[in-house]
Amino acid sequence: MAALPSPPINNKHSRRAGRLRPALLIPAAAWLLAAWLRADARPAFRLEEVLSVGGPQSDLLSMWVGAAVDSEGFIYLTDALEGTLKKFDSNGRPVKKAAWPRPPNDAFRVRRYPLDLWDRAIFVVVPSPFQSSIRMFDANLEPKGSIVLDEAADDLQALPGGLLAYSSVSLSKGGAGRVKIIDLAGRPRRTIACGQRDDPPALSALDFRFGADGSLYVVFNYLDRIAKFDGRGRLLWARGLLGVTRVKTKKILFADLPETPTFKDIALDGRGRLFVLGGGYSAHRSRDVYILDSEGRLLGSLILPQPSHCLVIDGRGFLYAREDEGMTIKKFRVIVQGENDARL
Amino acid sequence: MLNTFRSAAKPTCVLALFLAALMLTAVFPAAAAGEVDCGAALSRCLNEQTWWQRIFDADYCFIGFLFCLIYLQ
Repeated sequence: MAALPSPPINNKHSRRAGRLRPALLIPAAAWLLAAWLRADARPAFRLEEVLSVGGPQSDLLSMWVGAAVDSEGFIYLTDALEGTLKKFDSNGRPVKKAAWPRPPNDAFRVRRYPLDLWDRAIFVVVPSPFQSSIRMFDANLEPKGSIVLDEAADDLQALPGGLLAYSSVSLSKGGAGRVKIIDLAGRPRRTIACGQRDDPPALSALDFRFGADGSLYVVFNYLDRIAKFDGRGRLLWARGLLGVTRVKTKKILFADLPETPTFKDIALDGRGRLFVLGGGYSAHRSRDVYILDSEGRLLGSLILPQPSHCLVIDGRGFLYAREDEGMTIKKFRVIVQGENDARL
Repeated sequence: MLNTFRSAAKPTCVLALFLAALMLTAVFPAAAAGEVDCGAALSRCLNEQTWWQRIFDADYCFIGFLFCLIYLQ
C-alpha cells in the first residue's frame, strides 16, 4: 500500500518553523548565557562557624539583644531578660557583668539595649518610661555616668571624636525616622532626617551604620527601603529589595502598627559592603542576609542557620548572630567564593 | 450631692470604656494575627500604665511593641 503524501500545508508550516527555530533559539541561547554569566559573576557567600557562646543548657545568656566586639576580641553583650551588660573573652569565657535597674512592671520584659564601644568605653541605651538614657561603662564594666535622652532611642553607634549617634523612634510625625548625633555631654550636634515626608511614623523605625568615609547607611525596619546618605545628610540612593509596596498594618487604638518587620538590622564590613538582615517578608524569615555594595547593588545573599534579630561584624570581619532565641551567640567567618582573598 | 456623684463617676466610666476598647482593639486582633506574645505584651503594657503615663508617655508601649516584633518574631 502506497503511503499517502503529506498534506502540502503541513510541509509549508514545518519549513517555516524550521527557518524560525534558529532565529528564536540563538537569542534565547544568548540570553541564557548572559544570565548565567551575570549569576556566575556574583560572589557566593557562605558562613563558617568559629565560636559559640551560651546555649540552652547554659546559664551564660538568657536573651542577648545587643552586641559589640572590641579590637582585642572581647565580646560585650546586653541581656534583655536580666538587664545586664556581659563581657566575654575571645574564647567565649565570661569575664564580668554589670546590671542596671530595670523599669518596674515592664510588660514586654524584652527591651532593646543597643550598645557600641569606642576607645575602651562602652555605651548602652537603656529605655524606660519618660526617660531613656545612654549608660557609659569602661572596659571593666565600671559605670562612668549616663546621658539622659528626651526620647526613645533605637540603634546606637559610637563615632570618632567622642560623639554618639542614635536613631530616634516615635509615633509622632516630627520624631520618627531620624538619626541624631550628640556629644558625650548629651548636647545635640546634628540631626539627619532619613524618612520621606509621607512615611507613617510607626513605620519609620530604622537601623543605621556610618561608614568609614562618613556615609550613612540606613535600613527601615518596617518599610522596604535601604538608603545611603552622604556626610551632609543628602540622600544618595534608596532602594527596595523585597518587592513590598505596602507593609501589612493593623489598627491598635489610635496607631496603625505593622505586623512584621521588613529588615531587622544592618552591618558594614571592612570593605564597604552592607549586610542587611531580612525579616518576615524574606524567604527565610529572620535568616536571609542580603549583601550589597556601597552603591546599593545586590552582590549576593546568605542564610543564617537560625533566626536572628541583629547582625554584628567586628573589625576583623567576623559576623555575629543570634541562635536559640538569644541564649546563644554564634561567631562566623564569612567566606566569599570567587574572590582572590577568599576570606574576609 | 448629685454634682459630686457625677464628677466621681466620670473618670470611672472613662476608664471602663478605655479598657473595653483596649480589649477589643488590642488583644484580639493581635492574637488573631498569631502575634500572641507581642500583642499580649502590648495589652499588658497599656493596662499597667498609669493615666499620667498614658498621657505623657503614650508611645512607650507602642515602641515596645515595635521592638518586640523585631526580637521575638
